[in-house]
Amino acid sequence: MMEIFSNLGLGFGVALSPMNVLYCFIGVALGTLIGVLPGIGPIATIAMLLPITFNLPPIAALIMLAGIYYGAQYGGSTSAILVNLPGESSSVVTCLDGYQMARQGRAGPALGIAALGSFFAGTVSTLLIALFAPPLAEIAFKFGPAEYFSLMVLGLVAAVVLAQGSLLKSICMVILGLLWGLVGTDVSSGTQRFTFGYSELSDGIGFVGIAMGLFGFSEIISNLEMGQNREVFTSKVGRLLPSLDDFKASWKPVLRGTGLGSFLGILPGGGALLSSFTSYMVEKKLAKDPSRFGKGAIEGVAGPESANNAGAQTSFIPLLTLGIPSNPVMALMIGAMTIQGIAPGPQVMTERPQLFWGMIASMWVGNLLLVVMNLPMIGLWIKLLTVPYRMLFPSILLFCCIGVYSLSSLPFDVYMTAAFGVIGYIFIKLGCEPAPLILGFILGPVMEENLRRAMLLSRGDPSTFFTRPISLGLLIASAIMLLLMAAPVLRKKRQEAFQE
Amino acid sequence: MTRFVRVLSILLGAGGVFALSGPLFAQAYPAKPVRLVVPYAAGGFSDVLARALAQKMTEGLGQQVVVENRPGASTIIGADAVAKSPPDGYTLFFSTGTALNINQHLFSKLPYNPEKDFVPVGKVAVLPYVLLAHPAVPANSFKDLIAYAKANPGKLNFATPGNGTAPHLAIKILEQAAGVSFESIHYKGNAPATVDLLAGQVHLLFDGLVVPEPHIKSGKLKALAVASLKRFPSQPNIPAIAESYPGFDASTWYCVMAPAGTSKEIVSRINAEIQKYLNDPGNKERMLAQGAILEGGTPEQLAAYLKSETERWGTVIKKAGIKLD
Repeated sequence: MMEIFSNLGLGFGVALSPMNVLYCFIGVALGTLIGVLPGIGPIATIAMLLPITFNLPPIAALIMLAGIYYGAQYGGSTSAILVNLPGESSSVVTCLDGYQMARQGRAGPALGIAALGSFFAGTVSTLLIALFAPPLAEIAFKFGPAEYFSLMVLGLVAAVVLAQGSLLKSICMVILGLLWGLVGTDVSSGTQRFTFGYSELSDGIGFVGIAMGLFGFSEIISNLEMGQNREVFTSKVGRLLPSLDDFKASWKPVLRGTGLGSFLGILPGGGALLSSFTSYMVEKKLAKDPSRFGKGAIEGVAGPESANNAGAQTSFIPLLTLGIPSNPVMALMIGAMTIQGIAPGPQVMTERPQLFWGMIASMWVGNLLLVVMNLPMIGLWIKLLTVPYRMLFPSILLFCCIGVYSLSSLPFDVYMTAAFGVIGYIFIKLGCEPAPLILGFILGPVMEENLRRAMLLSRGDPSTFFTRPISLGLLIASAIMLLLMAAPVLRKKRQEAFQE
Repeated sequence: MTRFVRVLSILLGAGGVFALSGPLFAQAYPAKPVRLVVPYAAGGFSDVLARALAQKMTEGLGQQVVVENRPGASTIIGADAVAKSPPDGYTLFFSTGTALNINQHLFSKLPYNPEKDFVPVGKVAVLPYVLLAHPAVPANSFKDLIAYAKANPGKLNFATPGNGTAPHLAIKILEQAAGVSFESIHYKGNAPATVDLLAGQVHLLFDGLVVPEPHIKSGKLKALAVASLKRFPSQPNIPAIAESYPGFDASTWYCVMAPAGTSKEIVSRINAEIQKYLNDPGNKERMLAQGAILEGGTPEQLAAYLKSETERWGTVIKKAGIKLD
C-alpha cells in the first residue's frame, strides 16, 4: 500500500511539473474543442499531431495525446446535450435525456452533472488503474470469442429494454440495426455483403454518419417543420449548476456508472461504449418511475456519463499492461510511444516508472483541468442556444459535413449521413426510437464475428457457449432479463383475458 | 520554451496548409503542398511511417507533404484515388504489396490497374513477420512446430488479421511449403488477435515484432521463427523460416508510387528525398525498434521487385484458392 502512495507521489511529481501541466492543458483544451465539434474525432487530431510529438519529451507527448482523448470524450457530451449530436459513440446515450433536459431549459444542470460525474468517475478509475492495473488486465484474457458472443447477446437484450415505447417497434429497430451492421466485408470469409458494388461500403456503414444522421440531422429537419414557431429552449435558461435535488438524484447513478464503466472499459473493443448503454439501462430499471427516462431524467445523464468516462480511463489498462491497443486511439498512442523508443508493454511499469506513474497521475490532473475549465464554460455553452435558429443550425450542419468528410475524405460519407437524416426523420414521424437501432448496429457485427470465431475454435460444437462459465453466466443473465421483460406483458395479457 | 513555440507553430501551420493551394503558374516543382495518400487508417504502423517520411520530405522539398488517410476496402479506395489523380507529382501513394500485387489476385474486378496506373518511385521499408506461439503449444522450435502440425493436421488455430491479408497469405505459403494445415481464425486486425493469442484462445500468429517483443521477453509468447529471408538484426537467436524452406519470404513492405505519367524528373526528385530519410541513422534505429528495416533502392529496382512479387503471390493465392468477391 505504501508503495502505491510513493509511486503516485512520483507520478504527481512528474505530472505537476509546469511544462507537463501545460501540455496536459493543451491536450484537454484541444480535445474538448474537437469533441464539441461534431464528427471531428480524436483519431484524426492525434494522427495529425503525431509528428509534432517527435520533438517532445516522451512523457509530455503522451500526456498531451491522452489529454486529447479524454478531452474529446468530454466535449462529445456537450454537443450531445446541447444539440442532440453525439460527437462520440459513447455519447449517444447522453442524447436521450441530456437533450431533453436542454429543451426544458435544464442544459446547465445536465452539463454540470456530466462534468462532475465524469470527474468523479475519472478519479475512481485512475485510482483503480494505479492499484490494480496488472490483475485487471487478466480480465481481458478471460474473454474469448464465446464470452464476447454472450456479452453481446446480453447487450442486445438490453437494447430492447432501453426502448421507451412499444416493444414491437424496438425489437424491429434492433433487427434493422443488426441488418445495417451486416453491410461490408465479412470478417471470416472476406466476402462483400450488401455493398452493391460501392467500394465505399466495403468496410461497412460508418458509425459517425449513422449517429449524426439519425440523431442530429433528423432533429434539424423536424425542427424546420415548425417554421417560425420553432420552440426556443432559451426562453427558460434556468440555473447553470445542478441543484441539491439534482445531486440527490444523481449520486447513486454516478457510483453505479463508475463501477460499470471501470469494469467494461477493460474489455477491448467497444467496452466504453457498452458501459454507457448498460448504465442507462440499469438506471432505467432501478428508477421508481422509469417513464421519466427519455424525457429529461438527470439520472439518465449522470450514470452513462460517469460510465463512459470511467471506461475511457480504464481502456488504458490493456495498453499500459499488455501493450495492446483496445481502440484506434490507443493504437495511435502506441505509435507515439514506439517512436519515442518506448516499447509499450508490461515492462514500462518497471523500466520507466516515471513515465508510467506520471501518465497515470496526469489522467487525474487532466480530469481536474476539464472540470475547472468546463464548469465556468457552461454559461457560455448555454448562450450558444440563444443564437437564432436560422444561424445556429446551418453552421451545425456545415460542421457535421466537415467532420464526416474528414473521417476518410470521402464525399460518399456525407451523402450517406444526409440519407440517414431523412431516414431518421421518418423514424421520428413513425415514433421509432433510434437508440436500440444504434446498439444493434454496433453489437451485431461483434456478435456475429465472435459467434463464428467461437464455432471455428470449437470445431462446430455449440456447447462451447454453455460449458465456459463466464459465457454461461452472461447467457443466464440475458435469459432472466428477457423473462423479466416478458412478465409484465404476460400479466397484462392475463388481465385482459380475465376482463373478457 | 522554444520547443513549445515550435509545437504551437506546427499546430497553426497544419491549418494553414489547406489555404495554400491557389492558382498555379509554371514554377519549379514543388510549387504547392504534396499529398501522400496512405490507404490505411491513422494509427497503424504504415501511418506512423508515412508521417515520419512526410516530415522529412517536407524539409527537403520546401513544401508541406500532407499525409492523407484514405482507408478502406483493403487499400482499393486509396489506390483508386491515386490512380485517378493527375500525374503532376502533387499526389503520391504510400503503398504496400496489398494494393500492388495481391489485390488483383483476390478480387475479380478492381477499379484501378495495379500494373499500369502507377509508376514506381522507391521502396521505403520492410516489416518482417515473426511466427508467434502461445507457450502451451507443445513445440519449442520451428522444426518442432512443423513436426507437431504434421502429426496433428488441422489441430492448431492460426489467428490472422483478416481473410486475404498478407499474414493470412503467409500462413498459406507456410502450409504449402511444409505440407501442413492450420485452422485459420480471422480477426479484425492484429490487436484483438494478439489478446486471444496471449490468452491461449488461439495458438499461432504472424505479426511484426514491436507489440509481441515484451511478451517474448517475459515468456508469455514464444517466437519460433521470422518470415524474412534473413534473421532479424536485433533478434539473432530467432531462426528464419527460409533456413528450413529456402526462399520463404513474407512481410509487409512499404514503397512510394506515383500516378502513371508522372515525369522522370519528379520521380527521381522524390526518390532522392526518400533516400535522405532512409540514410538518417536516427530513423534507421527508430524504425528498427518498431520491428521495421528501412530499405531503399532506385525506381527501376522497385519495378523489378513488383513484377516478381506479383507473380509469386499470384501463384500462392491460386494454389490456396482464396477469392474475395
